[in-house]
Amino acid sequence: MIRTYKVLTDAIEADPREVANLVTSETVDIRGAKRVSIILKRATHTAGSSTFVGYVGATDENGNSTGGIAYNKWITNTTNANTADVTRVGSVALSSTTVVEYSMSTEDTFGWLYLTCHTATDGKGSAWVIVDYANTKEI
Amino acid sequence: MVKCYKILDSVTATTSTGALSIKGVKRLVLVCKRADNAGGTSTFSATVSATDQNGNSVGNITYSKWISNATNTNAQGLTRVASYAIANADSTGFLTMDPDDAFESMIVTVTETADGTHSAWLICDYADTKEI
Repeated sequence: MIRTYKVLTDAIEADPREVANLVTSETVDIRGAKRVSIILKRATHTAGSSTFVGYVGATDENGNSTGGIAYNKWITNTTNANTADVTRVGSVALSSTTVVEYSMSTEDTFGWLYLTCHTATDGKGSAWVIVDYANTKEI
Repeated sequence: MVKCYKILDSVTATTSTGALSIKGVKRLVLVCKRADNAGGTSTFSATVSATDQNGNSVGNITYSKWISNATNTNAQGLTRVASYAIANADSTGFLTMDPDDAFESMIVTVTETADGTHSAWLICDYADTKEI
């Protein structure tokens, strides 16, 4: 079963939701997810940029959080030669009107995920999380 | 089904957990936290083990294939390490067990150098049920 969650809508510079120049998305429960992708979008671009970072963590049996950890293994949606490997990054800076996709490395497992967006100068940043729980088929 | 277990709870000296069962775990992440930094280091490592049909342990083997949370270019692969050190900072990070591996138990050790408060969690994905 796949679910797609819009977690961040139109983050802008000087956004009233900002804390320390960052707009934080909703948190998505990714327990049991076999595959996680994120879709990042920048709109209304003139000259600035939107920079996204993903944070992962979990909540233990006592209800206490591990805290958010910046995730540095987002696999880029790029071609590679058969002599090359995938590319993994820790943040994504968009400086045009564009939509991009990144994947979490499949060896990882966490309880939850959220994203932050820093908008410089102009533009609107949005984000979605696609979660494949992979226990049922969908036709 | 994913479970998150706190296995080291704010310890302030070099400490090892007991043997933690990881039977049937399909994916495993070790979260490591250092607090109350005053210049020292917290180094997290683990041994893995199993018990045979006669009840005998294979012994504790230092696990050296923890996948680090590091970026890489397409000319590189994943980085695998035997330990995770947090030096002179309050910070939290994680290591991921290589999904090629299967063991029955694990002992996690934090080695303190000088100071600090150390915690760790295991996130275990048993992968048999969905959670939404």
